[in-house]
Amino acid sequence: MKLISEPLSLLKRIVLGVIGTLGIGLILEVLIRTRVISGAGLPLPSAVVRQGYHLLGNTAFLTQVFYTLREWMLGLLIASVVGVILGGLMGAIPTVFTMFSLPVEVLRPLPAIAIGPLLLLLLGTSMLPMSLTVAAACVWPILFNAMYAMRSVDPVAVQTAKTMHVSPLGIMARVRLPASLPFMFTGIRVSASIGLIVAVSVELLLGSGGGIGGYILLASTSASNLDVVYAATAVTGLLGVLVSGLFALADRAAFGWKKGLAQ
Amino acid sequence: MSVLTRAAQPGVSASDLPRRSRLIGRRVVLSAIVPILILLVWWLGSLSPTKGLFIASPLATVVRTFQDFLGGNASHLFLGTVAWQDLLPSLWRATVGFWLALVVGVVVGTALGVKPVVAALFQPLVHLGRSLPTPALLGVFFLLFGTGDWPKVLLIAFGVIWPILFNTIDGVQGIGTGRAHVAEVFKLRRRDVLFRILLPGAAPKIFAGARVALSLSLIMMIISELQKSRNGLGYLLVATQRNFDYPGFWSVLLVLALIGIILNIIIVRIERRVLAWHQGATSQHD
Amino acid sequence: MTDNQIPAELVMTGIAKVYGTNRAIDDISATVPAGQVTVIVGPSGAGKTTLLRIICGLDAPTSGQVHFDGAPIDGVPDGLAMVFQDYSRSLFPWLRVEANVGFPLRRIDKKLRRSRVMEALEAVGLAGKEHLYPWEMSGGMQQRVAIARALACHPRLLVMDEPYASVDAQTRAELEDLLLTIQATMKITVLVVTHDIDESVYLADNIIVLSKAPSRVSEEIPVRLARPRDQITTKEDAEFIRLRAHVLRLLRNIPEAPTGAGSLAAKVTA
Ligand SMILES: Nc1ncnc2c1ncn2[C@@H]1O[C@H](COP(=O)(O)OP(=O)(O)O)[C@@H](O)[C@H]1O
Ligand SMILES: [Mg+2]
Repeated sequence: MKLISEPLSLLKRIVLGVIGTLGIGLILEVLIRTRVISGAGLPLPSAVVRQGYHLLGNTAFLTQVFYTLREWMLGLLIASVVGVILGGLMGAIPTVFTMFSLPVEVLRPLPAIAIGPLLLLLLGTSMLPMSLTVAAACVWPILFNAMYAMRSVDPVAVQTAKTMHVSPLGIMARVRLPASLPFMFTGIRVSASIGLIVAVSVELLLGSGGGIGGYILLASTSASNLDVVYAATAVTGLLGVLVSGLFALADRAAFGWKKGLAQ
Repeated sequence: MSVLTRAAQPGVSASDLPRRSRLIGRRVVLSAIVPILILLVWWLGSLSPTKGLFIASPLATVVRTFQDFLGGNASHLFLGTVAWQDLLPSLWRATVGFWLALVVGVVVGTALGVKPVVAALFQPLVHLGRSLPTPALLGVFFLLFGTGDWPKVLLIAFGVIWPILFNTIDGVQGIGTGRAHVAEVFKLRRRDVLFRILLPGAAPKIFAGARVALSLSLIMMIISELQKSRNGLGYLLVATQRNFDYPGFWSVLLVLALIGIILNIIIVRIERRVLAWHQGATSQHD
Repeated sequence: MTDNQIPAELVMTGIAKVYGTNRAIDDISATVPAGQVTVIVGPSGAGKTTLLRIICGLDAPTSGQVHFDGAPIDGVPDGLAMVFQDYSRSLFPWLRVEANVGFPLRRIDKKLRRSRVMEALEAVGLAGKEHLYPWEMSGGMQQRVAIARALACHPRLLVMDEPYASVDAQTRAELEDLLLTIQATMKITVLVVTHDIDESVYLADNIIVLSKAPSRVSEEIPVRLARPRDQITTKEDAEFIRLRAHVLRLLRNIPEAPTGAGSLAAKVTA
């Protein structure tokens, strides 16, 4: 019985994606307008799209979007630096691994969002505690990818460099690090999308009014503004899709040689 | 194949034993350094004249955790009042939300994955869903689903379903035409294709998605209790702070970390078992 | 650095290697004479790769010693270059061909480095390919890059571990001839490991035949076939045919036949 089929071409997938999205929107629109499904607060697609369009021209909203973006970028940067350095060292040096594996195992499952309020108390109201919360959530995929990548660098590549009299430090910098970079970047890509969600969540949690989260919090205080909430959420989601697309492009441009790695 | 010869076994000589125990001792010392440093910084922080107010000392935190979460008598299964009032309801909602997402995600994901055309129709929306800051929809969910546990459970499920859905579609589509041809050549029944080729083949990806979903579900659990809530760990995080009850706040953090660790251990166990079965099952087909 | 270097001599005495309870090499003593091509041939798992790792100073023998030009080795000897079997793993995929070949020449002035890289690429017939990535090339070309990288160091001893085991037969013949040409023009000592008997006889001045693990030297065979060698005429030579039969018998533990051997399978089955 045929349950598995050949993959479609890119063009076909794009066309189908557009059709599917428009079609689902249309169906939802009709169902709500004809009151087949009814209830307070349902998202009418046309209203959400109209709101979204307005929001993109709304400087107050855009300011908050940029605030969130900066907060998120800063968090991702901190997570990348810490994750790559600590994870890389843990992967390359067994002693470092022994030293940090217990704290890493204990801290990793702690929901990052919970330390947000604490950081706010300790560091005062600013972007930094929120970015640090984002970093606390983003650091793990990066750290683990860096660790596994450094650990599993092809021994033949390392031996090759050894027969060329490359020093241990040189092997680290010229063989292990470059061979691990694509996987570290994969970690950063994964973290990037987690980070945006955490950034908005921490804004909502701290409720200090900043960012898209703060904007949504204000908007959702009045029930009549629900379209704005939907639209702001959707715009943020689109932003996230855009960013992961950019990261995918950067990945292909910088690490196209990845296919040359054995296995 | 090479011949293993057992001639001239060096074995474990007497001088090896003290060396080995020295190595183990070194490991223990090394792995204790960083945790001790962290505890030290935590403790010093709690003594600080300016920030110490917000930081409960490690000891106070542990004592408070025991009182709140483990202070009960036998009739309460030795669980404290806070455990009954906040911990268990939170865990209950998170569990229901997670399993709801897992079941729906895998079923829908498999259905989409086997039909490339349908998958393509929904693909942009799945991508969007994955990037959506679902916590922002907290207020909306209360409006849509009333009060009580349901809006919270559904928010958790809605928040964590995307990585499962995405990875299931990806996993099912990634089975590869090689195995598809095997299925055709052997004229397997639909059921067998589904349970013996598709799901086992996609299992590693589904697990990866489920792991992300599990850690997200703890975040969503906390978020879902921030508004219109009378109990739960998320509620407690806010309430303790509002009452300047910092030892209480820190004990919630500690409990959250413990939950995370336990969940991690459980999922590693399950994964090992299920994926070992997966390897055995697929190696028969390839 | 001068281009007229003296080829190196290598002497192994009583090498043994034990991995845990697995005795890979029992006792190997042999000499790799300067300026000649020595081929080590032995069945799969005989410890050939292990022996090369010891010679390169990547691994210490359990007992025994290797002397490189009279000095006991301790770490990778100067003047030694190694070509690994698996080019896809030993070439760096993030570097283009030029940077791969120039990789060991870090300390050399940029201009000189470039000229040496070009010279090495020229020698292996890859001039003009320096801007490609290794993975954009065929297997045979990739192994040429690996050889060029070894040559760029101006080695006095070139060590190769089953260098042609993963390329097709046609490319293999080309690369064998390439190696012989390079050896003749650059006057270096070459040590090749292979499990292909035809290849061992075709390339060698001396063949070292290893037994199954735990390995010992079954025999050291001098090869006196005329040089330059030719894929057709050399392989038709009665001496070539006699030698390959002899090596195959050694590897299969068959006693020497009184008359010339007929057509025997040319490869050891592992
Ligand atoms: N790093 C190692 N650890 C343990 N055993 C090894 C190691 N390297 C090689 N061996 C063992 O030594 C023997 C010889 O291996 P190898 O040198 O690769 O043989 P060959 O190259 O002749 O095929 C094999 O039995 C192999 O399992
Ligand atoms: Mg080998």
